[in-house]
Amino acid sequence: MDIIFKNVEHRYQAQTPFEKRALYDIDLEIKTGSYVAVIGHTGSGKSTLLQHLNGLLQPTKGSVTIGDRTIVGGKKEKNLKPLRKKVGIVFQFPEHQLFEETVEKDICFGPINFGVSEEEAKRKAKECLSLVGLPEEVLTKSPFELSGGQMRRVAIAGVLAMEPEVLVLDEPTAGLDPRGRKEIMDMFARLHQQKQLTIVLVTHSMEDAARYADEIVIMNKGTIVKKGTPEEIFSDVTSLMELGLDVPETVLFKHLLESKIGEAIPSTCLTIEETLQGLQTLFARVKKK
Amino acid sequence: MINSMIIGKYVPGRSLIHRLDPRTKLLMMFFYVFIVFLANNVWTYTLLTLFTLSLLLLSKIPFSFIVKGFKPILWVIVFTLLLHVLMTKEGNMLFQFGWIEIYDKGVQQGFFISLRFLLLIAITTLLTLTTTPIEVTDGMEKLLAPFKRWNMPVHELALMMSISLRFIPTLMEETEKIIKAQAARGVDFSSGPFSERMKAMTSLLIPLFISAFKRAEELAIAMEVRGYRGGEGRTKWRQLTWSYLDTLFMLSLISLSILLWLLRS
Amino acid sequence: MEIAVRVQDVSFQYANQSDYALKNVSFHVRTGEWLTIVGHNGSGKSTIAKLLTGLLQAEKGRIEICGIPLNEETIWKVREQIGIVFQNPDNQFVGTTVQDDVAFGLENRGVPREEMTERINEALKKVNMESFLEHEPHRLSGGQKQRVAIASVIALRPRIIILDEATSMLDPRGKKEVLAVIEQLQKERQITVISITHDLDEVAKADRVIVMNKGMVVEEGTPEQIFAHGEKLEELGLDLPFAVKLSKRLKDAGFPLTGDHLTVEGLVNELWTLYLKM
Repeated sequence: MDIIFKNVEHRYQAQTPFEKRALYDIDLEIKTGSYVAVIGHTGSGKSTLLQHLNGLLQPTKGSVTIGDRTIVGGKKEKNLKPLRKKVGIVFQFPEHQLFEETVEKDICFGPINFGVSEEEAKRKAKECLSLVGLPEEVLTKSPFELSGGQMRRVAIAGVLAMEPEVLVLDEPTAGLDPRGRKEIMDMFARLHQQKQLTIVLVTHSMEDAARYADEIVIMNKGTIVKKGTPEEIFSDVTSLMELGLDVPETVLFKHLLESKIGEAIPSTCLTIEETLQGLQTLFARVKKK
Repeated sequence: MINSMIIGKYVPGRSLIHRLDPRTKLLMMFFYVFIVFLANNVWTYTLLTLFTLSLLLLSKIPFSFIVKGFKPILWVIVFTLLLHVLMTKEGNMLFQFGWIEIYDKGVQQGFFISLRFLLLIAITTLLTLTTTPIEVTDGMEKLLAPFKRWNMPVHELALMMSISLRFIPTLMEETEKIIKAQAARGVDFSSGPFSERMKAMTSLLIPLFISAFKRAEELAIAMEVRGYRGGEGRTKWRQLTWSYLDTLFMLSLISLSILLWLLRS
Repeated sequence: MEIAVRVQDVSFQYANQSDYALKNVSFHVRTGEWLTIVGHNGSGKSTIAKLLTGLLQAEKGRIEICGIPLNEETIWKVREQIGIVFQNPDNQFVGTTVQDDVAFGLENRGVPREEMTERINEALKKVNMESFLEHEPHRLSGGQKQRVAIASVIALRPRIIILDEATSMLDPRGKKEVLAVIEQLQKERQITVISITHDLDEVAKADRVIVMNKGMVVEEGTPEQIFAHGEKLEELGLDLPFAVKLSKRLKDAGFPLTGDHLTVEGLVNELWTLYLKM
């Protein structure tokens, strides 16, 4: 299911004295099965953008096409439920949305809202719980007895159980410790590969964007300023720095070393392994000379 | 959308009315409620209206803001007006249409009562438009201070009020976030049968309560660490200053009451 | 060297839990030092902040703050020495505006009004928030709110500041602002800093690091010494900085590096020297 943004604009509180343009000139295509990272500062419009993916917000101008549905700016679209089933959003701190007495009921909540039978929902709950790496006995517990990290996983399972075709993640690892962060990000990468799930990741972490995404979109002050593969994006370090954005440390390292020695490292340097190989080739070549 | 409801009523400014001590404004509003009932004829109502209008003018607040304050209870006013016009059977009959008989006394009564309503609302709206909520709280705390002697927890009430004011926008934002998160899980907040709507409300209210309790707990800890141990021995940073302006306005209100008393029939 | 905090053989257990949150924990912090306490969630590191300020009472052991033994009678005196910046920027903002929030702590201490105004302005200037005096919290970013929290703390002139995961809910920009302010304070005012975190930058800025696991102190040393433990640290909830990781990999691959570098700059410099020598 492809998602296409055409010349999208969004104004909050349009036609009031408080009107604020949060997005403009957005042209973007998210292809089925891709892993897109959206990067930008707080207030760059990335949260507004992601809420257009399932019709929580509707454009004030332009159009958003999600699969076979097109939402046109200015026209109020109704009956968005089918859309919301197809595009699951894991909001920032998703554990704040838990409310049922048991973990099982909470995970089933989404699927049942979308018309799945109780029995089927329970089966999905079990399956999704193991996907997020929690043991089955958690099902009967109250979500509020769990640790923060476990609650996060339950909330994610609740979205996965809806079996969306597109998974939108808003800072899914905020506030977790390094181990929890890595486990959760690896789980999403697995889902992406095994189930061909389309993933849109909104993040501050350049490291995560470089490691997991196959396309990166950079937003600034309400519009897209750059998009491309990680290799393309990180080949131009200076323009990222001009936007006040961090650069992955591997890329920063490459940039600094290259400017010192005045020679290019023969690698894109997006991971430690690539960097190591690049350095080995470089030093071997210099030795020969 | 929610933001426009309670917060953001205050219109910043430096007018005379803005600069008045909140105690003056609170006291004036309080007494105004009684004074309004002194008016009972054309003269007194005209005087009262002129006084109120001059306050509105002095505040330099666009008239449209005041009118917005009328909107929610417009139907109450219309209803009172009609009730009086149709039900009063005194004075001279103006005209008759079937069972409907309209008398001049009725029209006058209806008009006066509606005007009374409008004036009261205008004055309270004026208070909220020219005074920040925290100034209102400070004013209340000071005015109620004498009641501490009878064990009224004045300081605690004021602190509660100011903390609520502080957290209203935060909780509104939170409400919006949870609504969106649950909508993304297929909840429909605006339509559907009653039982489903109840469930939708639960999915909003439970997370909201849990988060509010957590905030309260963390806030209490933060306050304790910063040395809060009750009102005893505390100094106050926000000071209220009574100026000649305040005395002047209070005097004008007193003169108004005397005039009204003399002119009423 | 003067000792700002001394913790001796402290144990603590939460009422409804079977395991001890802290087991015979001992450590000290010198005056003017930056100590970082790391460990993954549930390692007991946040319990320490609550014990140091008397929000929780240790079951066993002794805590001394600036020479004052912590007990029921001294608790308010001890709190005058310590300020805490908590994790959630919203839940520690008491005032309706920035200046009211800084005033709150001063009011509690009964500071006269003229002095308050002076201290509020001074504290807000220190954290670069002096142009936000009248702003309400919902109009500030997370990083700005945390800087106000720091101002509220330093207006009370404590000798110790505890950062209890104070940067974990911030975006990279907010985090940088907060850490820059703390670093400057520590240098200028000789304030003792204890930061409880899993943020690598907060580890690298520390003079000394303590690693906690399952309620016990398992490692202690300078950031360099701690990072030398390599993969073992990852199990304890701490990531390794990129420069350290790459240094290790380069050494394994036969690059003659002198040690593990904590910063990218350091590593680049040594590689450059190597490159020139060839």
